[in-house]
Amino acid sequence: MRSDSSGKSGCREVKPLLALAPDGELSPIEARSLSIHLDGCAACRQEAFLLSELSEWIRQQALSGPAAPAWESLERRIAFEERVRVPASTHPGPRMGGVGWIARYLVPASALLLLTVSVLSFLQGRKSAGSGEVQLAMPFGAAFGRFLETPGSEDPQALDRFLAGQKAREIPVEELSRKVKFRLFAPERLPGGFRLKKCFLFPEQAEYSLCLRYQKGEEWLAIFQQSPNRPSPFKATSSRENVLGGVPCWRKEVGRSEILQVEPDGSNLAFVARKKSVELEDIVTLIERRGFCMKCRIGAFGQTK
Amino acid sequence: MEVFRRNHLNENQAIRDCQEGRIQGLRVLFDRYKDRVFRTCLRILGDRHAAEDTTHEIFLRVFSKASSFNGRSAFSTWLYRLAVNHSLNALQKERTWGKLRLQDGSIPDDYPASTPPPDQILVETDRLDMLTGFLAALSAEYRAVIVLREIEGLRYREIAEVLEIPEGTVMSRLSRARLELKKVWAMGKGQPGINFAVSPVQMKERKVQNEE
Repeated sequence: MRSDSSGKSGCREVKPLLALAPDGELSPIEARSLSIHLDGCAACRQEAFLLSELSEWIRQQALSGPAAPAWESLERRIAFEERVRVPASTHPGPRMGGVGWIARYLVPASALLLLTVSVLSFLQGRKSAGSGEVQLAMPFGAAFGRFLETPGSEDPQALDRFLAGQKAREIPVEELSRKVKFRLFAPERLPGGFRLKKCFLFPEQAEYSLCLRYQKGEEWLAIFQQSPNRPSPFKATSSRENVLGGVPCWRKEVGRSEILQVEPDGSNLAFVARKKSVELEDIVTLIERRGFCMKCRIGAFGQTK
Repeated sequence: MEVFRRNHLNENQAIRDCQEGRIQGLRVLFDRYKDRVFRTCLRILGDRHAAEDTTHEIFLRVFSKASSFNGRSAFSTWLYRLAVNHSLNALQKERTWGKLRLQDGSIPDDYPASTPPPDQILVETDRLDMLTGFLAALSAEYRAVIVLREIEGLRYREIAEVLEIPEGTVMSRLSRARLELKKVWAMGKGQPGINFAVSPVQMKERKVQNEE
């Protein structure tokens, strides 16, 4: 064994080589230098053993794992991309993967979206300018329950039309953050492969403040943020974190549909409504474990009171 | 008949088919490489659904951008590069959406620019398995080299080509990544009930509790 001072220096020098030894790619000089050191250093031999054990463990662990998706799932995705043909620039978060054939629909789709948003803004402006209060035929919860019962409500565009009927307007999430004067985080992806497609802002007096619409193939999933106080939930009265993760969730029935209600510490409510095949248990579990979802924090753009 | 044709199309033909917009070429490439791409995405992202999404996006990109493959590198190298880059981008986006918190539950003001030291980070990831939790201890760049070397079995030169960095940088990242993982490995090894899915901080706390 070498003396302490030279031994320590030698150990420090060979440590990076030690970590690369399992690969068999050291140069002859490096390999020889390492070998000489290991002959006289039990500590580094132990280190080498641990490192090779670690590499082996990683390789073994990697052998077990979920299988890659099947070709059919990619085919469905290709078919969906063909049908949707939404330009990436008009969405708050999701990337459309640069699929070439979407480009030729970019201009007309953008124009349609712009027209839709303009119309909604116009209608909202008219309503707001008149009474300052949004008058709808029935409370949102009841209307939404009725919507879920109608045939064709599984269609994401049907949901968009419903939301438009509730005076919600589509808004990019960045603009939403500026509007509400605090930084809004919205997850781009939910469990089950749902991706954020649209963000809707309700009128200020509405029962709900905003909606994030997610989509997977032709299935939709929506998260609504309820306004805790009238007239506006966006008054900066205190630092708030509206977090869905790590909070109790429970089911509620609305007609024949299931709704998952998530209630943070009483300051705000949000619920997840889903159609079709998404398993609520998975969402509950993953929301509780992952601790992600809508998160708002005062201070990024506006001023606190 | 279709199965026969699929099996006998070689890779170059499949690439040409993709470049000319024929979907059967994509099918050949998908069947040949899907496991490698998915595994790479899975171990970098640590989330099965995200890995499936990203795998789809990569092959969609292969189909739409096949013309940009110039044959200077092996197709597998190009594909691994797409897989790593897409996964790292997706990882960055996931972090931007608030999955990273400090121990007191707050989010750093300059998030995601700030990078707190590992012992202050409580990383919440979807715990696919122990390996996922283990790899979560690494930064994205270190994770990428570990995945390419330990799991995909690429040589240093190949990793350097995939990541478009010098071979020396591959070696130094790999060395540091392994030494970092070894610390976590050594802490948990032999301790009953230790789950590599917990954060390094929690492992330290549990170690202290066991010693008391």
